[in-house]
Amino acid sequence: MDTGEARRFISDAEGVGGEIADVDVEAAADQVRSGLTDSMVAPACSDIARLLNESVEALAASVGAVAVSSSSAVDSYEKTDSAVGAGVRGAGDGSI
Amino acid sequence: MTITVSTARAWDTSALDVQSELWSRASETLDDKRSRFTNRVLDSPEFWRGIGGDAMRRTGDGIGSSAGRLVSSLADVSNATRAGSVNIAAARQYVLDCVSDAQRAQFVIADDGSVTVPPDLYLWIAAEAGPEGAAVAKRVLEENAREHERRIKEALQNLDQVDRDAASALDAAVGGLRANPILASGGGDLSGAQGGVDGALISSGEATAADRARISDALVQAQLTPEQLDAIAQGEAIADMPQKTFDYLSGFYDAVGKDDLLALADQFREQEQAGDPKAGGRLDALANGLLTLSDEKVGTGTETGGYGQVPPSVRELVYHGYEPDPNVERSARDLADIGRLGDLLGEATPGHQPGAELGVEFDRVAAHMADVSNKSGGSSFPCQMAWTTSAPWSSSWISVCGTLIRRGKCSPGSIRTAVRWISIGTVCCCRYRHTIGPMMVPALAGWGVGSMPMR
Repeated sequence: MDTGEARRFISDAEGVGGEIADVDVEAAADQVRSGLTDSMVAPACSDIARLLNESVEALAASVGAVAVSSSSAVDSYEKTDSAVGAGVRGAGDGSI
Repeated sequence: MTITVSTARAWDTSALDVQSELWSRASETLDDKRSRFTNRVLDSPEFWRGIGGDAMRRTGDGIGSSAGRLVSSLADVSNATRAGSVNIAAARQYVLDCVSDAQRAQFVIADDGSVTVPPDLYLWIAAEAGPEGAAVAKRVLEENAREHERRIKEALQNLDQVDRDAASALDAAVGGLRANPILASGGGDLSGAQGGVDGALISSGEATAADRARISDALVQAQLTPEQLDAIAQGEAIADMPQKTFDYLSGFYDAVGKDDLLALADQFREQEQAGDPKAGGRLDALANGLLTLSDEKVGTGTETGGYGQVPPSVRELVYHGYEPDPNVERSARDLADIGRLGDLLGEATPGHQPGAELGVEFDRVAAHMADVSNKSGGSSFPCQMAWTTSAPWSSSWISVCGTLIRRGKCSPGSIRTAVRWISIGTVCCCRYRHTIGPMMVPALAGWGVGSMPMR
């Protein structure tokens, strides 16, 4: 493992996760509700906006989790690099 | 019909255009983030290879796929919203045009679309046309009013239908996302990458007590729920195990290997005997995780368990637990390890069964271990013959084993090993509705082995 490059990957993943979390898919929901009172399409929009927002949050969390687990993996690798390398000889290249 | 004239007048469809534009921009933005992330994952073999990196890439691929679905859904729902806006605006304008036509003809329009002739119009016509002309004019006016009313109410109904159609189209655009929602993967310490690292850390011998506690807690977290175990016991498949959990187990058991797996089990057992209240649960989880990976009925939607998911070192040990040639003796260490593996799997949660293929392998081990008992006791009893000529787990075979062991010719270790594997095999047999379960109970009880983990 090239831990320096791996750290840059983790930093990128953290950045992308944060940027995804900033994507707003609900901003127009109130405007649609007030602009189309008593319509069927307005509550559908609100419901879909919630679903999309949950999806965006889940996606951001997933990317963030990759960063967290990768960071933990790099930490563990740096902690026990020689021993860990021996532990994964089966991988063929001695790295994790 | 719920839409009224005042409602139609009040509607402002430009809000839908704003919504459509917002979702379109979100789709483009997320597609950009998706590309950046997946490209970095694709590049990762250049700096991170091996078990942990592979597991991270599996997780990353899944995230990229989820992101792609979300990007598509956003684009689809944006288009549906724009189309809905256009259609609703047109239908609304038609309502307003119909109302305007009626108003220009001097009629009175109620909010529900009803059209009437105003009283002062009757008075004016009567004054202008006289009694006979007024009667004719009144009839014509009322016919015209009814025609305006019909047009307005049809226009309102059309607007109502267009509104419903737009709502349905929006819902259809995210139907795939609703049916298969994007769930957060990762979080906590469960991921394939972490599983690989944790397994390697245990294998390295460098894991601290805190490391072992964290890892064992992750294994506890990865266990199937009692409801899922019940469902499997009833023949159902579990298709919604979180991919991150499956990846963690796969990464961990692959990396830890057979020897260190058994050593970890021994450590947990010692801790349990020393009074550690958590050690028993951790030992159970260590066994459960291996059985989960082996089970063809457990899947994530994209990946399923099976014998191929069992670590190669464990499969090799199980294979050596039965030999094609029963006259070849195994080393004492192999036999001891088979016994330790049996001890570990005996700790699994009651009802937690191995996969079908692993179950068959266990059956073979059980058969061979009984033969080992035969040999070690010096008995000439034809145990192997009975095995080959009887249906697996038939009562005659069990009787053979029981008789063999009751003769007292076998060492206690051999008895324990044979009984342990027989009991594990029984679980497999019960799963396939063989009839051995009820017959095993008296047979095994007759062997005088009190601590047998019968389930």
